[in-house]
Amino acid sequence: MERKRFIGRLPSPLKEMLSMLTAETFNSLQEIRLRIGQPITLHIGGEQYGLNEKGKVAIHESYRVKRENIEQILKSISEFSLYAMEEEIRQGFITIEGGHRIGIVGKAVLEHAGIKTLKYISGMNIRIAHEVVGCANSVMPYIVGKKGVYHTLIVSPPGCGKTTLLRDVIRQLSYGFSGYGPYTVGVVDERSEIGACYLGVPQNDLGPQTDILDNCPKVEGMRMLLRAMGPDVVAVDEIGKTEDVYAIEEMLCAGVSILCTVHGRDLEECRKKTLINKLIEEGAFERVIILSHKRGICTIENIITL
Amino acid sequence: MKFIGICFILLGCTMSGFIIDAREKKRIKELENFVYIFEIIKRDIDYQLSPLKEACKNSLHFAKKEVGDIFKIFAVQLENKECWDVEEMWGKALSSQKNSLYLHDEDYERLERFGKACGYLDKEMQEKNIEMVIEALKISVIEAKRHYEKTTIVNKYIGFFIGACISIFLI
Repeated sequence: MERKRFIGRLPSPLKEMLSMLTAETFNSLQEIRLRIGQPITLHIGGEQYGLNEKGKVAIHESYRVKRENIEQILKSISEFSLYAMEEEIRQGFITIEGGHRIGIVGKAVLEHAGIKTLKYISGMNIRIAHEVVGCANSVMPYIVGKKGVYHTLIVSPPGCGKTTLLRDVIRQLSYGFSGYGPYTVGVVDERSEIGACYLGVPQNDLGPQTDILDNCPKVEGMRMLLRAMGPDVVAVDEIGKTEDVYAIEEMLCAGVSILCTVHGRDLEECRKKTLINKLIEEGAFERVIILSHKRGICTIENIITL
Repeated sequence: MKFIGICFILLGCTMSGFIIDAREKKRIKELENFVYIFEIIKRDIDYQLSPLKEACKNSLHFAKKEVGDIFKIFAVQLENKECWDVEEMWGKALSSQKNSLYLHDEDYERLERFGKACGYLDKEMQEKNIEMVIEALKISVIEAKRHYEKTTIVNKYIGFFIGACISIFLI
C-alpha cells in the first residue's frame, strides 16, 4: 500500500520504472539518487544498482536523468506549490507523505550571509522511510525498568536506522512494554520523519498514547509539550544545537524522560561533540544505544549503561 | 390574431432587453466573486502556507457555484497531476466553464494571468502574483459597473422600443 502511494506521487517515467521493482526489492530499497545527466542509482542493502524500464539493472544500463524529470518530481512532491516548501528547500530537504525524505542540491541563493533558497536544482536523494515494527524489541528491556523510562540516546551514522528505531521505541512505550507503561509520549517531529504526518495525522503507528507536534522546531516543540501535554517521555530526532541542549536540560529538570538520536559512530565520537559531551558529563543520559549497518538496518552494535 | 402576435413580439423583445441587462449584472457579481475568492486564496497561502490545491478547495465555501466550479476543476487537475504545466491546467479550468459564466474576453485575459506565475514562486512572489490578478479584476469590476450604469436603461427599454417598432410596422 505504502509502496503504491509512494510510487504514485512520482512522475513518469520514474513511476513506471519503480513499479517494475518487486515488493521485496522495494522493501529493502534505501535510497534513489538522481543527478541531471547521470544514471539513476538505487541503494539496496548496501549495494548500488541502476534503474530503467525493466526495473533493477546494472548502473551502466540505467536511465539517465533529464532536467525535466527533476522539475516534474519537484512539482509533484510540492503539489505544484513550491512556495509552500520554501523553508524545506532552504534546509536542503523535503519530507513527503510517508516520511520519505528528499534531499536536494542546486545553486544556493544567498541573502544576509544565509541561504535564501536553492535554484537550478540538479540532484536529488530520495531516502525511503521504512516502518519496521518490532525492530526495538531487543533494546526495550534496557530502556524501561522499575524506575520508568531511562533517558536514552540513540547513536548511529546516517542511514543505519536511528529514526526507525526511535519510532518503534515510541510505539512500544505508548502501547506499554512487558507490564511497564503505557506511557504518554510527546514527539517533536521537526522533519515529519517519525510520524510521517499527513494533514496532522501520523501515517506510522506511534501508539495510542502519543502526542505529536509535526513540523515543529525541537526547542519550541519540547517546551510546548511540557507545558501543554504533560508527557512521561519526550522524543526528538537528531539533536546537536546549543538550544537543543538547553531544552533537554529543561525536560530533565521537569522529570520527563528523554529519548533522542544523534549522528555518530560510537560513544567516543559523540564525546568529541562539545554539546553532546556536556550532556553526557552531566548525566543526562542513562542508556546509549549504538547502531550500525553491519547486519542490515538497525543492527544493535552496543547498549551502554552510563 | 394580430393582437396576440403583437403581444408576443412586444413581450419577446422586452424580455430580450432585460436578459441582456441581467447578463451584465451577473458579470459584475461574478467578477466580484472572483476577487473575493482570490483574496481568500491569498490569505490561505499567507497564513497557512496551503498548497494551491488546498487553498482552492478551501475557497469553495465562499464561491458561487459557477465560479467555484472553476477552482474545483483546477484543484482536481492539480490533484490528479493531469499535466505538468499549471498555466495549462488553469486555462482548461477556465475554458470548461466559459458557457456558464457571463464574463467578457478581457475578463478571461485577466483571469488567465493567475496561471502564468502560479505555484513555483516563493511565498512573497506568489502573493504578489495573486494581488496583481486581484487588482486587474478590480479594474474589470469598475469598468463593468461603468458600462452597466451607462447601458442599463438602454438595455431595459430598447427591447420594448424595438418590439413596438415591429408592431407598428406590422399594423
